[in-house]
Amino acid sequence: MLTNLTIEEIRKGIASKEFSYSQLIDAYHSRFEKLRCLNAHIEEYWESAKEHARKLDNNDGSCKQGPLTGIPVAIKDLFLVKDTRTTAGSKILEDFIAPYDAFVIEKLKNAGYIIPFKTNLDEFAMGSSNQTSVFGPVVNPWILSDCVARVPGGSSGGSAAAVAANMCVGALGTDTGGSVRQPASFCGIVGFKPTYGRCSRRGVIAFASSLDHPGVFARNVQDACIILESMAGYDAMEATSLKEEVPALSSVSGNVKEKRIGVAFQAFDHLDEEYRACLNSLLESLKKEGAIIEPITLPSFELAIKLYYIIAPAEAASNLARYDGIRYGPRGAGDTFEEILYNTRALFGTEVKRRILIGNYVLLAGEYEKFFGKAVKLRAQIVRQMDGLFENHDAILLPTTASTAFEIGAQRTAIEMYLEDLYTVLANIYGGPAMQIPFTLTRVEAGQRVENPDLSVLNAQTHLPVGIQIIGRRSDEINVVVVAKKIEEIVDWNGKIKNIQLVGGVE
Amino acid sequence: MTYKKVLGLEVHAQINTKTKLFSRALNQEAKQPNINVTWLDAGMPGSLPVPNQEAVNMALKTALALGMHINKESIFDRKQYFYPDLPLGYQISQFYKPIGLNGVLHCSFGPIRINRLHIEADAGKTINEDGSIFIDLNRVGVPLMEIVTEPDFKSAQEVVEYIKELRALLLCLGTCKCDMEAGNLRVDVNLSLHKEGEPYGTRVEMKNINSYRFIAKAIDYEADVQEHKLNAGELVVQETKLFDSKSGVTKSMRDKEDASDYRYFPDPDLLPIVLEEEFIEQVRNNLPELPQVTRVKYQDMGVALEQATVLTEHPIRVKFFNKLLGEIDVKFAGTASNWIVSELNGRLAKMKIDLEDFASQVMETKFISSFSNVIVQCQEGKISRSNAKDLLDDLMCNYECDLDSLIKERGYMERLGEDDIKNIIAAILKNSPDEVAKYKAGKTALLMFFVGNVMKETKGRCDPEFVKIECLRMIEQV
Repeated sequence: MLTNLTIEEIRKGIASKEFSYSQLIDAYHSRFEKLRCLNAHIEEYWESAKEHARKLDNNDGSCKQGPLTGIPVAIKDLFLVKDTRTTAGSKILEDFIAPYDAFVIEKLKNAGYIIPFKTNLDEFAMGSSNQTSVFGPVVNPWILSDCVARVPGGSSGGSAAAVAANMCVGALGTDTGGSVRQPASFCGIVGFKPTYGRCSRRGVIAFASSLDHPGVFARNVQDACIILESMAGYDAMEATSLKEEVPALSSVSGNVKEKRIGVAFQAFDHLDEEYRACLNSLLESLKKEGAIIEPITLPSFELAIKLYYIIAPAEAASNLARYDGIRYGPRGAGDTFEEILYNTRALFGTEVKRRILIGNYVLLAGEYEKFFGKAVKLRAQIVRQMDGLFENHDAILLPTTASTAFEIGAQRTAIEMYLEDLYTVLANIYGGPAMQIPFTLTRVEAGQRVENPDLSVLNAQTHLPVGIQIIGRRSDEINVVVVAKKIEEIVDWNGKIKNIQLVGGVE
Repeated sequence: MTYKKVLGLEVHAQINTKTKLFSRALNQEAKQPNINVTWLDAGMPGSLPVPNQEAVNMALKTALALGMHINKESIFDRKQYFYPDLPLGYQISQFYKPIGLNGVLHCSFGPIRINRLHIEADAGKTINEDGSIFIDLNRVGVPLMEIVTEPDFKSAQEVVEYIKELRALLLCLGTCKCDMEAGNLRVDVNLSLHKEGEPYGTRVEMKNINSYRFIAKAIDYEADVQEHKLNAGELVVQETKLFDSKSGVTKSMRDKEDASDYRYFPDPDLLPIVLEEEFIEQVRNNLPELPQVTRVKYQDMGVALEQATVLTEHPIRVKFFNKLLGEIDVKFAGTASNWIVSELNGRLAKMKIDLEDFASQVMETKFISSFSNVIVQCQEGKISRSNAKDLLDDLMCNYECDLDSLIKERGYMERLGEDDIKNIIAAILKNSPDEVAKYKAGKTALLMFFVGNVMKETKGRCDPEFVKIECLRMIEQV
């Protein structure tokens, strides 16, 4: 099963000539072909990926080599990759060819990665279920015996589904309010959002600048660390980029001795008994490993989500003002600028329009102090509170999501959808690193059957994954990784799901 | 006129940097459209601004020169509106916390209070041609300082004076090229009328007027319009107007009431500009001598106010005058400024040459020392004024010519000795017996006939006053 290997296993396999780069890419490609039905991708580059692998096998020195040599990492279609179509899942950019590489893409190229495909996403990353994409919804690879098509979460749903379904080693996502961690939880994989500014936003299509974090998906913590190390780093052309050196995350071991871990017990109360039982046993294990477990009270999640849904739309409305049909993208009909503007911007989807409206409203001169101004002040207060908490703690544990993946097309109001981000927005507002790692399986009530199910993509499970979240102090990814590696070891997630036939059957 | 004008200005000065405010595109005139454009200037997805420290430093320097309070932490805000030549859909400006607040510019007619100075990015240009609209993004992102005054002006003349003063200051600091025709310095005028003792009236904004002459014309025209309205009992509406230089009238551009809400908010792509106290002091201590200070210094040397103003209008003029002052005794400063402003500049004006352009041409030549020599010799009476003017004409054509040999060549030698002059007078009196007789008979006006002949004979190398006295004395002795 080449598509199940970790990066270190791949390196060993290549070094010992157990398999070639071409065989590796071919294996991922056939996996991809088998699972097109998940609709995880928007663009694919298998030909150039195979050419790249061939060159590596020929060892002709024409390829860049680094920590990610020959490793296929899928890219959320929000990152500009030079000369490829970059759509943001929107009609307004459906024919947009990126004229330059995002900084993190440049870094991945230098690290030797291979881009196999670009992944589906909520339009302009606005959504928590990948249902707002103009390219249609992504299907969560956890298709259970009820044959229901569930959402992979969002907005980086395509990346999460692709990694969970072994279509690539890892994937890039962006996390503005939980868009990496929530889909990682829904798909049972690792999702890592580093400190704000750790990964440059240059070349990433902006949603909400002060909250946008490029992040990474992988099937284990170490792979996530290796990919993140390769894409992180100071970008002199990005004003909010962090100057400090990127910590050596992949050399960290999971030694939690004397680590002070704060646990937001109140938040876990919302989860079911099964989950809480697992949590208690996890905490016991951590204590045995020498960790100091302490209950903590986090700032109000309800407040955080409220101010998130003021700040994010305000910044988004402004960031999306550039799509006027004048310089690129489709141009709406019209004889005057106003007509062109109106008809071009009519191409935005409903959710995007909703947020543009909210965003412009909260910035109106008469509303500013009531909404935006207040939100900014409260944000500063939350940041101070979090900094205070981290004076006494090395990491904080809280849930990633309140629920498991829900059905595609399920009737949910915008507000219900916004609450998907309840536990995740805090880390975006604060700006500290946060990692979601798969934690346990939750039994799912039988849902509606999908029509004409493709039996080859089914398994006989009745449980869906749900994760746990670790938040760290700003700039301190190290402690997050230390705790994550230990939890990963205790939980043994990949062992737990080894006997579960994931979607697509056994390779 | 029973109404009094109240005027305030918003001046947009393009900051004289190498590159744009937030991108690395060049900040310079381009021969072709859309050449100085980066992804950011074109509003490409994913592009981000990086502040240009040079622009911030120049704005700081200007704010300090205007005696402003400096915000140690100032913030860039987004001013949001849709326009075809505004690729991002917002202009990056400083609304909530500008870099400079509350300053003053000491004009020759009195002080003008400055309300604020903030940094912002210029927009592009929209060109309507042959029924099509063309967009040129070369100007997008060019750094601007917006310098806003209090409504302290009472006349168009004061407004023009202020702009000249501001221009002199910016040129002296080197923070703006100030070519008004090229749009480096653009002026928006706010005008309202009121009666003495009554509150200010509704103001009308006139945008982007680009010459002193048009500024004065626009103000006078708009004041007339408003006065007529007020006299007819109509209301003046708050609006923005454009001055049409061809027809000489102001035309409504848009109603301020309908103007969009700009939805300002701090730009999340940019961190606050933080200026350390130490750095601010360093910039303050390195400020050059400002033209307003130089002017007072010149006045103290005996230079007339109007001339001191002309000499301090441009830093090259100041350099020129200072260099010239270095060649002469300070007691001649007033005379020298007179020579420069009326004689030299008068000649240059006829040739449509700017004094500073000429000055920079001759700065490293012998012109300045020769010119100062002429001024001093003339003042000391060694050469006559008319000879001195002729010499200036020659020097202006040949900066490197040797003054002494020129004087010799022309016969503008040093003055003759008193005995030589007396001999010449004696000879003339001897050769003009009829005139002497007539003089003695009472036709005293003939004195000037003798003096004139002496001046002619000596080629002007003598003091007419001395000649007059000697003639009088010697005729009596005939």
